[in-house]
Amino acid sequence: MALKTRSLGKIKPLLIFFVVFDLVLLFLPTLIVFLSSFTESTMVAFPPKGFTFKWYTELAVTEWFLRTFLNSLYAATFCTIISVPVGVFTAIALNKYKLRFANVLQIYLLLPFTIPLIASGIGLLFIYSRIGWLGSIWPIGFALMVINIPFMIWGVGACVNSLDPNLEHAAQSLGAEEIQTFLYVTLPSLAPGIISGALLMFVLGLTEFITSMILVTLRSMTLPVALYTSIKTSLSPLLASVSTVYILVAVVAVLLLDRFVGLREYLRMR
Amino acid sequence: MASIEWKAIDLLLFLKKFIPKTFYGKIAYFLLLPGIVTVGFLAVGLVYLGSYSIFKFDPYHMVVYTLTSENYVLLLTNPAYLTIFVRTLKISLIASASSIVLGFFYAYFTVRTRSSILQKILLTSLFVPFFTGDVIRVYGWLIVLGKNGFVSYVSKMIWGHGAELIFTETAVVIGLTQVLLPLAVLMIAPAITAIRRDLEFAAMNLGANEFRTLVYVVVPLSKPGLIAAFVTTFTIGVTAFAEPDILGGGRADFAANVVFKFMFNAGAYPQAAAFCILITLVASLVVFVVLKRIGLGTMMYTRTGR
Repeated sequence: MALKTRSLGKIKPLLIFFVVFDLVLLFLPTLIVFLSSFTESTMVAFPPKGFTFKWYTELAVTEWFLRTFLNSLYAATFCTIISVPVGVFTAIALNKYKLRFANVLQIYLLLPFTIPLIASGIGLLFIYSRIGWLGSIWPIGFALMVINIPFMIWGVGACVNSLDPNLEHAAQSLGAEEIQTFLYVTLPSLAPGIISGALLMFVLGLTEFITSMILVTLRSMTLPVALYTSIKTSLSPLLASVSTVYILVAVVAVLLLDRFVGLREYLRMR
Repeated sequence: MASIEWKAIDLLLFLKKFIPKTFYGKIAYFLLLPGIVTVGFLAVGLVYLGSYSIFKFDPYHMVVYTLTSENYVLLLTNPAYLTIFVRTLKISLIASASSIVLGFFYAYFTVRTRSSILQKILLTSLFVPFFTGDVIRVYGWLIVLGKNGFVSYVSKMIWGHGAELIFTETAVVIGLTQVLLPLAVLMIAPAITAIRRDLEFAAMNLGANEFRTLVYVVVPLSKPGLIAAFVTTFTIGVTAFAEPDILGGGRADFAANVVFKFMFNAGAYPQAAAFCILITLVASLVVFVVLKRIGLGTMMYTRTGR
């Protein structure tokens, strides 16, 4: 893998040192979890002993895993579906129109990122217990949407920015009226942003921990919360196989993201 | 299918007639409604936290609805809570700073490398851990740093005795830095992309070496990304729960762990709320100072003003 970046010159060793260090840091825990899930011993330890798939076969009949995984899928799906209209409308409003108090609005809409998650979670808990939303799974999904919505607005916003207004004008001068223009011209050109935002919302929803932990009950338990509780009490390699399932989900999501949007898009200026 | 589609559109057009003309001038504000309501949940949540934080806590009645400042006084005068507060800020600042330094080089290399395969590998390596979630990564670090873990094994091979990193602040810093690293890179990279390569060449033509170019040209110009990276990683670090709990083993508790104990072990809602408000205030203060002086950086939702 020859580097063609001639002009990096003298700082190349420094850069390579940092990049390699980062790669080790990024991959070490994932790799060790992956390897541990095939161990024959009944306790997680390094190095793993032998090779077996028994933890995966056990996983397939582990009731708490299946139940909480389904709950997580449900919550993440709900979160994603709701986030699309919210994100699309907000991104269009912010990027296409001159708004009064635009700066205040931006800061307000960044609250999900600036309020510490523990405070968001407990605030939501107070609201949910008042309006009776505790105990079901969809409110967890709603909460995941609330705390991650900036990702959706960024994703769609980037597309609204690069949308050529002439396309919409052309459609309208050819006789399409506003609703048709929106459905057949605007929305399709926002698709890459919607897909990338939706994927992020889904995966982040599937793995979210702090807010979920505050809001879940035994019935609406999600997988990251269940996994966390088990980590505290058990050393079983079964947990490593649960984690490997998540790693595989992450790999698939990254492949999809690359296929539909292109990872390189994330290097571009929003 | 097509006819259903046309009918649906006709219905929409029919409904549209009932919308008053004045609506069109304000359409942007109507489009904003869902977003405002969504984030409104957090705003109302903050109001709830604020009001609970000034109620009295009583172990028997849980919450007594008389106004008091004793929750704040307790948190700000009890050395145990102060220690936790200071530790939360200290470790999240260290982890945030480390993730930004580590992330800057990663982002710079990823953006500037001309090998598209290498670029894809670096991006994939970034997104896979990011998408794996923090609980799984913390579990990974537990196995890496733990008693019979990878680090201990390697250290036994080299020095003949195990290295015990687990249940220390260092372990929390390592775990947290890794959790924050992908976010830092994703915030910094767009800012580096926006820097024209010519500027770097110009600096070098004028006699700056590569290192000075990096320090005096690239770093200042990637400020919008560095700011956004700082704000996101710091606010996430401040609220860390799993890292201090699992990697710190109760010896390096963060504010979030204490809030959780107040809330669910003692039922002390007012104290939990007061602690939440304090963290939010400190985090917002830091964010506010940064944003006031430097701006939203790559966190901006819009392109205007950049």
